[in-house]
Amino acid sequence: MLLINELRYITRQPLLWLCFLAAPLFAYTLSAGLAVEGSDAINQLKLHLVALQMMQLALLTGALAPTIFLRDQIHNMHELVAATPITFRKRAWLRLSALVMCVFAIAFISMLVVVTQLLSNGFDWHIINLLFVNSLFMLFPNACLLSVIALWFCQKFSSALVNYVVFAVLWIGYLLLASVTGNPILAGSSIINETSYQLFIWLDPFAYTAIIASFSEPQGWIVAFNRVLILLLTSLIYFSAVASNQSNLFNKPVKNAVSKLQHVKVANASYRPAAAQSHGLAIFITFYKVALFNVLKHPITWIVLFACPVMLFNSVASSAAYAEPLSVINATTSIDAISHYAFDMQILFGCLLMVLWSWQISCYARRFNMAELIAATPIKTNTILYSQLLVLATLVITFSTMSFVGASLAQWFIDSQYDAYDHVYVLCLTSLPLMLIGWVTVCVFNICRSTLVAGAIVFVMLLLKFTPVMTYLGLTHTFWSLAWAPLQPPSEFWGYRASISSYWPYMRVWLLAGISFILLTCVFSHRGTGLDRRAVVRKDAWLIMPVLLCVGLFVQLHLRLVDEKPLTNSHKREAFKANYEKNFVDWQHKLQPQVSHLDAKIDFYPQQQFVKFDLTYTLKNRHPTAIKQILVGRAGFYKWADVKIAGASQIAFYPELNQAVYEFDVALKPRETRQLTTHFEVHQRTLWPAGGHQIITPEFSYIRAVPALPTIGYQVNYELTDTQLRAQYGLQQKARPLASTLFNEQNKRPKHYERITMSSKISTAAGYHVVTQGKQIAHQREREREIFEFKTLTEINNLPAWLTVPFTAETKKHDDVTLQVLVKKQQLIERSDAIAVNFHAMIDTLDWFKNNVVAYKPKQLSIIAAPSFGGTGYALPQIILIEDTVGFRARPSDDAGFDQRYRRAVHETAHQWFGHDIGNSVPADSAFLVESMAKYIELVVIEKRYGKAAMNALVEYETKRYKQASRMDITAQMALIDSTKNYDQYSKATIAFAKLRKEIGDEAIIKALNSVWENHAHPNSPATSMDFILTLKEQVEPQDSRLIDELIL
Amino acid sequence: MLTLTNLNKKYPDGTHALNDVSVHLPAGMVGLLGPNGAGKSSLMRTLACLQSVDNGQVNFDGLNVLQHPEQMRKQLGYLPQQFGVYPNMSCVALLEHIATLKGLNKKDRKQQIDELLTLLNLSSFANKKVSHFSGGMKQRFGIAQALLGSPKLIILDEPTAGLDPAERESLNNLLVTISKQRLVLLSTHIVEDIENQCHFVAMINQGQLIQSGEVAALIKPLHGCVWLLDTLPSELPQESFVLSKSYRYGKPSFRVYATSTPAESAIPAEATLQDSYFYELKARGCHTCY
Repeated sequence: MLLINELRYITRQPLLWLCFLAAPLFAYTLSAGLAVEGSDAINQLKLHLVALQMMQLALLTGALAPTIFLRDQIHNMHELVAATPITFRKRAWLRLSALVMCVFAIAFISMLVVVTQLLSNGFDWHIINLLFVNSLFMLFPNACLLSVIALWFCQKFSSALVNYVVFAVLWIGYLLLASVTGNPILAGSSIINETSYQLFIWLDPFAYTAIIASFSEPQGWIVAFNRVLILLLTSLIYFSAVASNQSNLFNKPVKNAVSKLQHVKVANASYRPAAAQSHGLAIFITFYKVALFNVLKHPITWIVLFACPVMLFNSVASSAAYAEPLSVINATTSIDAISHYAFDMQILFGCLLMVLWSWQISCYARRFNMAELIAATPIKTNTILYSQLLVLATLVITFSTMSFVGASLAQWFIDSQYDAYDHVYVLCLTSLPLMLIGWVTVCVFNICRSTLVAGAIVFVMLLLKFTPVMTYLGLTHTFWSLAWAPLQPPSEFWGYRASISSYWPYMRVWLLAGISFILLTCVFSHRGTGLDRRAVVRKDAWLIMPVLLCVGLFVQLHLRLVDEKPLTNSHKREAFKANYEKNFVDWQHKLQPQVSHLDAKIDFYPQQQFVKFDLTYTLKNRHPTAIKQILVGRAGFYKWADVKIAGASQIAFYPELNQAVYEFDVALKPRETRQLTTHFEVHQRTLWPAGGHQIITPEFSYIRAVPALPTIGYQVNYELTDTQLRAQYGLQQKARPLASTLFNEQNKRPKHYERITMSSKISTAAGYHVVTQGKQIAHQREREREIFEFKTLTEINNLPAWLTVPFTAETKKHDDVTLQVLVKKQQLIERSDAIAVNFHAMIDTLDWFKNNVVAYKPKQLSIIAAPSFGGTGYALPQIILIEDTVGFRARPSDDAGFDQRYRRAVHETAHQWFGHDIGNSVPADSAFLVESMAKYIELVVIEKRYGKAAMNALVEYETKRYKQASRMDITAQMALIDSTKNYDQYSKATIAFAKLRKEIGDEAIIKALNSVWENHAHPNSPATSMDFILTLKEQVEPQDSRLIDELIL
Repeated sequence: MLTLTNLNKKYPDGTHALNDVSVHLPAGMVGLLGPNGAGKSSLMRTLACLQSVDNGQVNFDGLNVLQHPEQMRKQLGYLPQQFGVYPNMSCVALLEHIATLKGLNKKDRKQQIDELLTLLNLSSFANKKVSHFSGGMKQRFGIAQALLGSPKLIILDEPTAGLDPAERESLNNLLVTISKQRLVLLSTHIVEDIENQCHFVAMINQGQLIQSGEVAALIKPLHGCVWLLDTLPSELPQESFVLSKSYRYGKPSFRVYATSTPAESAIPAEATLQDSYFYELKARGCHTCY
């Protein structure tokens, strides 16, 4: 009966219904976003339920707890309730039960939403079974644990604010812990330390780690142990909470109580009039002072302000020198420190603080029931608001200063090169958005009469900012994230060059929007009372001006954004691909000419950040029949280029798909060629971060042919591969042959490699180097511009690229091949060690191939230090890009058994054979012949230069990586040769080849490689992974053949 | 001094808090009477510019209050029925804070705070935290803050709630003293206080103004019509117009309105404001008033 009474109270709380509504909605979007193709439904459900509970439970409990545990205090009913015959213990037990029931019910409904989505693919009793098992052994104990924690804090502190902060810390803290224990739900997470991971499997308070670990091996006993432990802990906290309140507040004397009483004697007192004058500044200052001190006096503010630098110190000191595993940065700088605090912790933590402080500042008077007294004074509304905004600005500056102190101390501690300006600069850049978020939040609290409504709006604001909810709903736009600009962490290579150009255009608009909102708030504020807002009257018409200005600026920014690159999301990309396939799939079987030669005239303007292209493709009909029509296209986010084909005219154009069909006046006969000419410019995007394979900046300019250049024929890589998506878009399912079965389907193997010759005439700014495929045949300076000419001497893989950099080229000649390493001029000396390592790696790899398989055919090979472009190393024909930090600034850590710089350079050099000589030419053949074989080369070349110990260290490192990655993978395991997973193609391949080398030796592998080259090198038919495996099996004894099957097939 | 014209306020839940209220309130002590939920607080908040009205006009000394709330607030002292205080602030610091918000300069602030602390007998507690004050002291602090800046319009919602009889008397005297040059609008359930101190009263029920005028003028029509009947309820003459019921020595006693002797045992009684108030309410069908 008493419990029903409790529930009756709770069901009348709007917050509960908000949770009932929001939680399942969140569950729906989360499960849609986490869908993993190729995993079985049970593992999928486990993953979803873990993700859901991890994200929801703490927030739900934290939000509901004060309504239940602190309602007496909040509504000043504690004396009334305490006077009833029900004991405190019983009351606590009832309220705890009610909270557990509510949290359980909401979470269970959310889980049902997930289950319903999974069951839509087909009913499965196991799913229902898992739902109930999970609810009983995971959800229920976890809800109990969180509820007793809430009870303890509510009893101890009687403060809703403390409860909210504790649960925010619990929530974020657990996410951080989960990210360092390799939780697959969190992007970028990895197991930092094996011991702490093992410990967390046993002691994870919510047992999620054990559940995830159960994907690779059963964890039943560990989960059972964990659950018993957690139930014991729950009981302990409960009894502690109940015991802590035995001496309840009524037994305590009120501290410093002023009990009264002196009789009022009026007779002798005077009351002289004192006229009120307008002292705007004095009023502003006094209001500011009181509001600031009220926040600063709160213990949570002190905890936050002191915890923040400690956390930053820890973060910077422990990871500023981290380059990659087994590799540390030689001499860290403030830029490295900044990258480790200013772009994640500072922003996330800062946003939460802004919300907390905004609420404290704007609702303070109301919370202490003084709002009406204040509002009745002649203080102007804008004085109230501006002083609140200034308080917030002061707090942002204080917060940033504390961050500055923490990071600076950490740099001093690790003896890093310190530059205060860098810190101040980044803190200014990150503080402005924080301040804007705080200001908007203050305005929301000042405009919304109900704190609950204002809180809900702020929550939605944060939800839109920090979760991809709008993308799930197909409404991708950068504007959903309040006060956001695509500013990225700086790098020592080029500071903020990648994104700084986007900062002010965004911030300008957000700033104006913020100011407009402040102006509106000045007019329509309820002055902190929550009683009433002023109605709109005619004299408020001027307000339309800032609103219109904001709308105009947002529209203008939007137009600039889409002009540079159309806004896209996974739905739009899928729709584009589906539409492309529907329209052009017939072209897959239409014979098309191939590009046999590319004549490029390219003008780089690095300072102005654009490139002019003037290209001539020589199209050759390599088929036995004549070709009448040709499909020309460009990637969806480029504007259509001016394309002309000699003797052909455009007969159809598909602007939405960026494709055009040309028809030859006279059909292109076999072996006949025609010229396609095109001119276009590529400009560096200023509102999007520079990266990927299109960067045009003064520090580094790089354009890869894909996706910048027009394409010829049907593009198979545009096709959707996900079976569910294909079904959703009404596309016919396509059987995806595995690499291991491709060998049996000779007809699916292309007849030729796609090879081209190239000649490039490239002009660039004075003092710049140019790198592209082919031999440099001319260089001259004309009118302050460098003009280079290149020509390929042999056919190359069809992946042209052009770079221009203001670097110095260190050159070495090795066997008639010119080797180059290009780094920044001013860094030549400090990077000399890394340059030497890269040269060694190239030479050793070239030698190994020359001695064992086939010599490098072109006459030049270059390694270029690059900014972050999405990977750490990338091999183009004759050109290798290696990220500056890992390839040049880093050195092996003290515990490293091998040099990552050397390993990477060997790997990328090996791609000149595996990838650009054989491999990469048969659609559906996975990366075994490219990536896995390059891993084999790493083993043999490292062993040759550094010895067996270094090679074993590499194997040990890859084994560890493999174990960690496979533990986090819920999809079905595949044979190495068929696998599309990175950790298989790299780590498992290293392990497999190490074993093969041990058991069958290098000789058999080398023989097999020689055979593959002999039979499948250009101009023969392209090689597949199975060509190598079958040849290898021919070289070995039957028992070793079985080992090959076991390891690779 | 204060003229309300056709004030209307309807809340989103449908409650008609102010229903066409029109009245002119002169300077001095003015009482506002009405049962719970009558609309007194809504009216007071409107006058304090804390909430808007749907329509109507408020004019104070020639100032259109609804159009120029900021001007009105410069002349306003307000004590709501319930108020809180910032924690960790002493009485004098909080008064300083509010005085500054009211635009007093430093000299005036100090002088007036000292005077008010003395006047309200809070001097010895000036540096104590207000959040630790007892109910009566907190109420005195509330009145002190309302008097800061010598406002021309002082709105006091239940100012004597929580005060003991001596404090109540002292405060009433103070209010009478300071009401000379200004309008003190006093809302209270203690009709006796209004009768003793206010020269003008406005009665309000269900958002409507039911009566207003000089206290003496409101009582006058009842002279000779109020009778005291010490009898059991069952023995009351039929169709008696009972104004109020009380007990004396454990026996019921009725104040009855009648133009002639209602019963032989009836004793003529002097009409009071409370009689007038109950008469007006009962005449309009309010049966929950006693």
